[in-house]
Amino acid sequence: MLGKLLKYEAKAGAKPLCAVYAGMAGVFLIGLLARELHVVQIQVTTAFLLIAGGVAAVVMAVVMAILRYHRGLFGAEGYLTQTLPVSKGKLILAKLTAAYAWTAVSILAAVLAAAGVMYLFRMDFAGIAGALIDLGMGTLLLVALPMFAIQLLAFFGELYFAITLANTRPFLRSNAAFSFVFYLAANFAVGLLELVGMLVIPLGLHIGETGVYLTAETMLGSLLEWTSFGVPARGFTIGIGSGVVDLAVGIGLLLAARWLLLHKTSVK
Amino acid sequence: MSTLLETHGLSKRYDRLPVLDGLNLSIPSGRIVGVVGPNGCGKTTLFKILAGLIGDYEGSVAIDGRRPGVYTKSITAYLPEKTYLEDGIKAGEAIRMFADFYADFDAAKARELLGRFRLEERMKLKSMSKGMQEKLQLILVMSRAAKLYILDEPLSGVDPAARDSILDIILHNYSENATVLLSTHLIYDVERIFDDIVLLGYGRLLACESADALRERTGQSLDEYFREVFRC
Repeated sequence: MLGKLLKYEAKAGAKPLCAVYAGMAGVFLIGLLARELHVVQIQVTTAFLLIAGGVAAVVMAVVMAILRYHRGLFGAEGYLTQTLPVSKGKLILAKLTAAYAWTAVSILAAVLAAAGVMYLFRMDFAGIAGALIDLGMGTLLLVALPMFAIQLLAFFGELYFAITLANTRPFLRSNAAFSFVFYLAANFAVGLLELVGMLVIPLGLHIGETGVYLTAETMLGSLLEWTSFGVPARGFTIGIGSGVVDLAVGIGLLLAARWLLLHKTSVK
Repeated sequence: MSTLLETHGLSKRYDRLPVLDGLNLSIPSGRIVGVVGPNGCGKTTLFKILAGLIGDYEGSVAIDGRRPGVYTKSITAYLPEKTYLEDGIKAGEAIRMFADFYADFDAAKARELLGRFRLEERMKLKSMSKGMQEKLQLILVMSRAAKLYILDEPLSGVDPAARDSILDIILHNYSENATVLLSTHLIYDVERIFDDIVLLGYGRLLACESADALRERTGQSLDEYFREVFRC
């Protein structure tokens, strides 16, 4: 049943987003043509459109995730979605997976758009990448990618929890406004927890003369050393314990949304 | 006849206002039950609870012996007052979607009914009239071999001709031994099809008995009795 739900969720996002991706590909081809024909004005315009398209794709994916969740569960469509013989957990999981996938694809499209702009202007792509790797950015990227993936989970957890809470009885009349308020509150609270996690959880990236590597030191320890003895010669640690917090908070908020959906929400 | 639906002390409040107040119901299989009452008496709330759309109620509900959940949704076909399909969906796509999710859905029967009521698979919901939309949703619901059909005001807002065809769909397509709960304000038009009547009055159960017994007891038709009880 989860597979069927996923099919319909993915399909709902496919039409508008694939149109944006196709548009970006078309713009890139026009840009290539302009580059070969040395029409700089069109080349610049297509570069601008590519970047704007990348941003638009990401924004659209997030907006669609919000709308699909809100309308699909609490709007008129909720009368169908919530009476399907499927558990509430699977309903949320299907929406989360589709939203996650479309957002990830849109981010990839935005990165490709940026790479496309570099290619249009004949930038030394390999040279820039090589220089970044030489600076230790390869390790940073290896850590940053899963961290970002976990952060995205926490982001959707905050969104889904806020929307679900806003659709419980006391807030139902102004559910859109309350969704926004609850999202801001959840985001602020998660931000604070992330900060604490980053400082005190003994998991970090040590950046020093010997390169960038994972360490079990806390960032707080590194900062204290820094403030007590000045910039330490052996480098410093950036805490990545916020990722652990994001993972726990993301899962916790999604479970809370599921509980609310099961026991406290009403379809308008 | 085995009991298909039971509620004990079922209560639901909106803010502080009780909409259902300690409702005790016992409805057997194989009956067509009219659920009637004035506006705001709790019919839609009762149906939403049975369909699993409202979870914060007091008391107990059992459909085929189980609390509203995944199992009860698999044996309950629910038609809400609202249009619950996406605007852009085509009739054929809606049939395929129901076939995907409901094991008891008969797609061939749905297509046959579509043809009989002059609806085409390629028609989009947004291009249909209200009566056509109601028919499509009812066709989807009645093409299931469910144990319990919950039909919330299926006749509201449609012309008398469409009303007849909607009643026709209901009467000729519900599965044997299934129970149909149908709420309506148009009691005069449909009382002939009711086996039983559930009369709700502002959250309370005023009557739950066979339609014939009520007619005999009161010496009135259901429509006349309803008008007398709820006269302002």
